[in-house]
Parts: sequence; structure tokens; C-alpha cells
Amino acid sequence: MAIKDYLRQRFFPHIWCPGCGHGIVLSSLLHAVEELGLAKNDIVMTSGIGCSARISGYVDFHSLHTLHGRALAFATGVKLAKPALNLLVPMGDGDALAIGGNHFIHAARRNINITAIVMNNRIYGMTGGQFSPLSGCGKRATTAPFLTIDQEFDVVKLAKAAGASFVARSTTYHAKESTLYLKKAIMHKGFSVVEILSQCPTHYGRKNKEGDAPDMLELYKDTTAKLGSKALEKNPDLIPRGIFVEEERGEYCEEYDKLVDKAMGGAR
Amino acid sequence: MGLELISANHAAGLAATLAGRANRIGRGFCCGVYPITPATDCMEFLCSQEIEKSKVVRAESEHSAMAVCIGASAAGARSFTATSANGLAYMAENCVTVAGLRLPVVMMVANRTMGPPWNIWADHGDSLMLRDLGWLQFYCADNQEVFDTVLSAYRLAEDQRVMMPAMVCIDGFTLSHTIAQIEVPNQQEVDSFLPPLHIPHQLGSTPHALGQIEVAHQVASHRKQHHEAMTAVFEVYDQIQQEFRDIMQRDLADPVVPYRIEDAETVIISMGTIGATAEQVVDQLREEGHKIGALRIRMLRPFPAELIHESLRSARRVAVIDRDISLGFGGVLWGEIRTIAARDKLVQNYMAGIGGGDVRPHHLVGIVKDVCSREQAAEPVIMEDLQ
Repeated sequence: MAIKDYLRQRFFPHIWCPGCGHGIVLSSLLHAVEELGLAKNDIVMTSGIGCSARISGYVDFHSLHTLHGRALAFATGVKLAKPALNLLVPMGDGDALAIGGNHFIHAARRNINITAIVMNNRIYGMTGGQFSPLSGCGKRATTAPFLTIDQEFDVVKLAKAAGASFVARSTTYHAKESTLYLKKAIMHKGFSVVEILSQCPTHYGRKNKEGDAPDMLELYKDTTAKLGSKALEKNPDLIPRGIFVEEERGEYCEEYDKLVDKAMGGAR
Repeated sequence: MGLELISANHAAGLAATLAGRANRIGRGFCCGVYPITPATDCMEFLCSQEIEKSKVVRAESEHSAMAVCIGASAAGARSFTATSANGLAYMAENCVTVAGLRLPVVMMVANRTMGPPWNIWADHGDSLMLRDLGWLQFYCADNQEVFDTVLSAYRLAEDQRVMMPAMVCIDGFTLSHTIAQIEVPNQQEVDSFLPPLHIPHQLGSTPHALGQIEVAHQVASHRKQHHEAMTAVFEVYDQIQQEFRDIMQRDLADPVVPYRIEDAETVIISMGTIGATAEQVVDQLREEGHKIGALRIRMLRPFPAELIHESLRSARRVAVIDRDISLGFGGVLWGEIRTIAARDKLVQNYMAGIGGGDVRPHHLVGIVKDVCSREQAAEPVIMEDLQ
């Protein structure tokens, strides 16, 4: 199936600003789905609120556009009711780790077979550029005229500590790499998290003097390095990209089935 | 007193800022905020105020934003937040808490349609959902009123006879984003209008146990006290209006705003910005010889039943316009008006502007013609497609 067959073109034009990284993430994701040969009918995408969440309108899968931060909780219900479906949950940094932080860590803890994609642009884009829990210190935003003092989460460390059994990070500059990680994440049995750094030139870039979209993409090239690379060894301040966790661990729906079998004494 | 050209979102933020600075104990406000369209501008305004006089936690959700406000208020700070629609729904649990704890937090709600289906335009369904929690609830029609209502909400909410949170509701976009000129008092004037904040159960004075477990009769008696405090509001409000007039040299709007109602046989009742449109329609229809008036309900909680009853004395027909729908019932405001309108009046409900539909003068003219053509009231009318 061609990539465009996965798109719901009647929802276009999309709402993303010129230069936004989210379209690149969408492209990486559709390539992953297409390369895996998944049928549209077998995929459910739940999303919350924000620029990232609009993605569920643009893909021709089963889609649930839900509440701010809660997409993973909705996905948990879908997955448990119909474990054969592939659950994709794209979220922004605000959606996943501010208002939805609790659901994020608990989905990871359960290790339920859902693919969470954190489209990290380090800002609340849709409401006009307020800083998020991933903006970090010393940043400028409409809610931080005197610069931020809030420390940011490290999505990879948080997901790892909370129990996610697959954790990866890439950027919109590394779109093919993102596709590769997304494929692995979708095929992984358990809770998988793929963080993709995605530029917001409109709100984050402009306020923090990171330039326009090409400049911000260049920045992703220059400030990140592959795990195990010499560049990262030489300069540990670079943001590592790669697969950080890939473990086999009891998946929630399977564990649930086992529990039912046990409780029924094998009578099922 | 000075003039400012300002949006209603900013007017609410400015009133809260001046109120915060007027608190001689802290000289500043302390609050939690979280962005949501169309209230975001207001919280951004708070974040841009002089940092030494404002402590704003950019919280991780509306639920936490109100929790921060509760903590700050319990510690003796003036507190304020702003939200809308699903943000308010998510905050609801703490809206119950702040009312139950009898803390005078003031909140601006930019009224917006509850999703799904997702929509960012004006609808009163969000704040009406929280009508019965024990908050004072106001609905505004213009920028000056938003400023005045937020400022006086502190005075009212903090009065020892009242002591409860206040919600100031403004129509999303229609009002929240409209820029208009308003009169703004200087800090000395605000200082003399707002006494220092004194919360009897403030943390840090003597050890208090807030929010503990109670058995039935204790809960019932606390609810009774809260309800009785609601009934005390009207007298306190009268007094505040007098003080406001003395200090600001202008009027603070009444709980119920009548317009050319003295001899009106037909009355349009509404809340928020539709009320301003209704006044224009009344002028137009009066010129054509109709005996018509309008009544705008500014204070919904406590419910000013006597004032409304009095205002409807001459009315034979009443058109109640609701920008909301209580599914399975009809308009919320209509339900309230029906409880007090005498049986000899024809009270017909029109639900207009649901989901942010633009309610224009000719829609109201149509409503008036419709209500005048009726022999008796019928089922509530849902106006789906406002052309």
C-alpha cells in the first residue's frame, strides 16, 4: 500500500505551521507502518490534545481523539478489550509528560503493548508557546518572560525508570532512523516509547533564538549523537540517540490472560 | 483612575493583579495556572506581571493549578486562576475542594463548548456544570464589567459573612478576546476598596485541621452554614456596591441587570454577551411600539430569585435564552426562571448559540416574534442553525 493510502486527505490542509517537525514524524510513522505491511483496520490510534494530537485525524486508521493527557489511558482500554489491535499513541511533550505524566508512568509500569510516540518540541504549541516540563531551565516562553527555572524531564530516563521495555530516541533530522525505531517499537511486545525531537520554529525556535526550521534541524544534527558513537564518547553533553532499552518482559494483556487461566483452574 | 485599552482576558488578569498587590500581608498574588484556549491570554498576562509581586506556578494541569491556588489561599495569599471547558472539567474535583474548604479563590472562566466534539467557541455548559458546588457565579457582558466583577469578587468572596470562592464567567472569544477601553483604578483606590485578607482558618495562625472526615450531621450542618452564607451575599453585595461607588465614582453592576423593563409585557432573559445584544433589540422593537424589556442575569449563584421575580412584575411573556443545554431537560437558566415566574406568565425556552453559534440581533427579533405568537409555552426550542 502506498503511503498516501494511509492518509485521510479529506482532513487536509493540516493545522501545523510551516516548518513544524510534526509532519516529518507523521511521515516516519507512515513509512514504518507501510514497511511492516500493517492493515489499516488493525491499527488504532488514540491521541490527546495539542498540535501532536491532530495526527489522529490525518491517518486513515481507527482513531480516537480524546482528552488532554489521557490518550494512553484510553489506549489501555482498547488494548485490553481487543489485544490483537496495534495501538499507536502519538503525544506532545505537554500531553505526555505534563497533564498526562501520571498515565505515562503507569502505562510503562504495566508494560502494556502500546507504542507511545513523544513528539517533543519542548513547548505548548497549540495554545501559543507556554513552556512545558520538557523546555528546561533558562528558556524563554510566553509564560516565562524572566526565563524558566523549571528542570526538564529526560523522557528516556523517565520511561526506563517507570518500566517501559522498549525506549528509543531520534529527531526529525534523522527521519529514516525514526522509521527504524518506530518499526521496532511497533513490533516490540510491551510498552514502547519513542521520543522524537521535533522542531517548533513558530514558538520555541523564535523565542529562544534557535532560528527557523532548517536551523533547528541542523541543531538536531549537531547536538545529538548515536549511542556508542565516538562523537558521544568525546562529548558526553550531546543528546544521545538510539535504542536505550529493549527487553522481553511479561506483557500486561498476556499476564492478564494467565491470571484468568490460573483463577479458573485451567477450566477455561 | 486611568483608562486602558485592554482585552477582557487581560482585564481579568489586571484586576487580579491589583487585588493581589492590595493584600497588605503579602503584597502580591500566588497562584497556579495551566493554558487552555480561550483563557490562555489571561494566564500569560499573570506570568508577565512584576515578578516580585506575583508567584505563578506554571502547573502540570488544571487540577494541579487549582490545588496550588488552594494551598496559597489557605496560607493567606490572594489567589486567582483562569480556565475553560474541559480544563474546568478536569479541575472540577478541586473546585469542590476549594468550596468545601471555604477559601476565597477567584477564578475567571472563559466559557467554551465542552468537547467532544471539539470546539473552542462560547457555550455556558462548562461553568454551569459547576453551578451547585458552593461557588459564587457571575456572567459578564463587557470588558469593564469583567474588570469590576473580578475586583469586587475578592471583596465579596473574602467577606467574613460569605467566605467562599467566586467564578467570573466570560463568553470565550466574543468577550475574552474583545479589546475595549475600560476605567482602571489606581493601586491606592484598590487598596481602600479591598481590606487586608483575613481567613479565619488560615494555616499558620493557630494549628487547624482543614478538610477532615465528618459524619452525616456534621456534613449537613456545614452545608447549611455554606447555604446560609450564600443567602447573606445579597446584603453584602449591596454594601460593596455602595463602597465601590464611593471609591471609584461609578457603579458596580447589579446582580440582575434590567433594561427598559418597567412596563414591559415581553421580557428577554439571558446571560453573558447575549444580554448586550438583547438591549439593542429592545431599543429597536421599542421604536416599533412593542412593550419589551430585557433582563440579564449577572449573578447566578446565589440565585437572585427575589430580584428576578420583582423585575418580571409586568411581564406576560418571557423568552429565556440559554447558551447551554441540560440534555434531557432543556435550558439550565430556563429551569431556574420557571421556579420563580408566576403561573400566569408564558415562559418559553430558546437554546441559542450552543457550540458558539453567533447570536445576532435578528435572531433575537425572531425569538421575540415567536414568543409573542404563542398562546402557551411549548417544549424548549433548540435553535440549531443560526443563519
